[in-house]
Amino acid sequence: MILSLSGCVKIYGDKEHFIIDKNYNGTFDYTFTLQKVLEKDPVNVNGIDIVDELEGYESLALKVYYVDEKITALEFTEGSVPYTAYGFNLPQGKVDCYFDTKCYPNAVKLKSDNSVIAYYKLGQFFFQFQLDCSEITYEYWFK
Amino acid sequence: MKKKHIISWSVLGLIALALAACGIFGQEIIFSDNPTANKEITMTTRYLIQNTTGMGKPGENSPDYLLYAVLVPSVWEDFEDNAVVTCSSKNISVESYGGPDFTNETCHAIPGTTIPNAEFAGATLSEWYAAKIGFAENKYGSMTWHFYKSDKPGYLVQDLDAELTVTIKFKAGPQNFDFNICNGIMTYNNGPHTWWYNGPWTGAEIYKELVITGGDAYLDYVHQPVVSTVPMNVRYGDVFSVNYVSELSGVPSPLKGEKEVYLTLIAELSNGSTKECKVHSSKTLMKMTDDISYYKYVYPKDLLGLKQSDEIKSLYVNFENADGSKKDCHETLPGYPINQSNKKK
Repeated sequence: MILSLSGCVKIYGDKEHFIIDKNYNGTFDYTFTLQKVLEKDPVNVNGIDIVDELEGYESLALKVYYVDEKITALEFTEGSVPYTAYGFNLPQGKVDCYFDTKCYPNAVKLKSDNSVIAYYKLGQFFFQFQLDCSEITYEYWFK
Repeated sequence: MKKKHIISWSVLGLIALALAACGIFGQEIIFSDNPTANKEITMTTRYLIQNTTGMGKPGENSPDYLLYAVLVPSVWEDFEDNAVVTCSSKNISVESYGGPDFTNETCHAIPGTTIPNAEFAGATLSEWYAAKIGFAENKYGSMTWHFYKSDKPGYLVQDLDAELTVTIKFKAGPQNFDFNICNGIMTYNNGPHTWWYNGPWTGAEIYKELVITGGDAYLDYVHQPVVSTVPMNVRYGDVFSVNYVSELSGVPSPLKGEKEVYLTLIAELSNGSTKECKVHSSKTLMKMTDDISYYKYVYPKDLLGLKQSDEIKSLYVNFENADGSKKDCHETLPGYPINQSNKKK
């Protein structure tokens, strides 16, 4: 619901107003910003949020494209983060995706090979990855 | 009158539940004399088992196997191969109800065994125990739980408490060590399934500081070091926090009291070359959390200007104030070493 209405937010003064635009047709894009980066290990099983600890995270972005309110493409920008999170070679720029509601959590997958780009839970996109140590897992959460 | 009976049975029920929840108690750990690196160490642990633990009482529960857990440093990679575990008991019969007690019965390692507990579905016993019990105050090094199962099931003698003695003989690694060795005991079929073993600490676990000398290095997992990392167990291709204290055991470093402390890095690469980062920037400025504690999250390859494919063989850190007039450097090494975990992705 939030996603489908996001193209219709108007700000008057200092307040947000949801207004149904007469030209609204469910086709829009929305850039989700990084909310937290959880680093999990056997001692810190719930993870430590390091989003404010490493320079570069502020430049991460996840842009989602909707057509008829359905996800059709996605663009992930790693910005100046000094490593690559995806274990596979994610094409640069806008890539065609679809939203798989048959799996849990629901997932955004690449149309080309069904690779999972991100999961969707509690109104947020997230995905997990590892860098070097098998005991450490990272999670990006976008909202 | 009827109400009184209900209250009495409720109280009895609560007592029974309390006993069931606290059925096994670690009593004492004894080491062989002078634990020495590269030599065999014998550790004996005594347990008291209250007969409410449900270990095969006639007519109530089937007999069950003993499950023994021991926590040792992860760097002892061949621990399971060289450790020999035996157990002896009083009032735990080995063949049948009323049969002879366990006497030097052997237990074998069961690495990779997964736990059918819903909360930890798919986790190994080692991962489950680490999450529930933790690492026995070993804060400055990586530890691993190992599990052993008795070859034969035990029968608890009805209405009597039991005593269990577990002896483990193992060859220590080549390093000098200071760590807390920890043991836990439970039953194989009931233990990991039963709600009271979902921990955390139940009393069935007991630990003791073990100091090993005569080796070729010194690893201290118990006492706070000048430099540590979060996570504790990292590889050089990870993001991690370098933690630094400017006073240890009451002895201040030259940087004590400095508000602005910078981290410097020295790396030895697998191709034999050396890379350094001595730049003062926001990426190397430590965050101060109290009068003596600082931390900074780093991605070492970024600071050192390396590619992701470059391999760091060893990594050292030093510290200095804003104008470089005060430094805290390791006395003999290129810097304070950051140890790398062998658990590569």
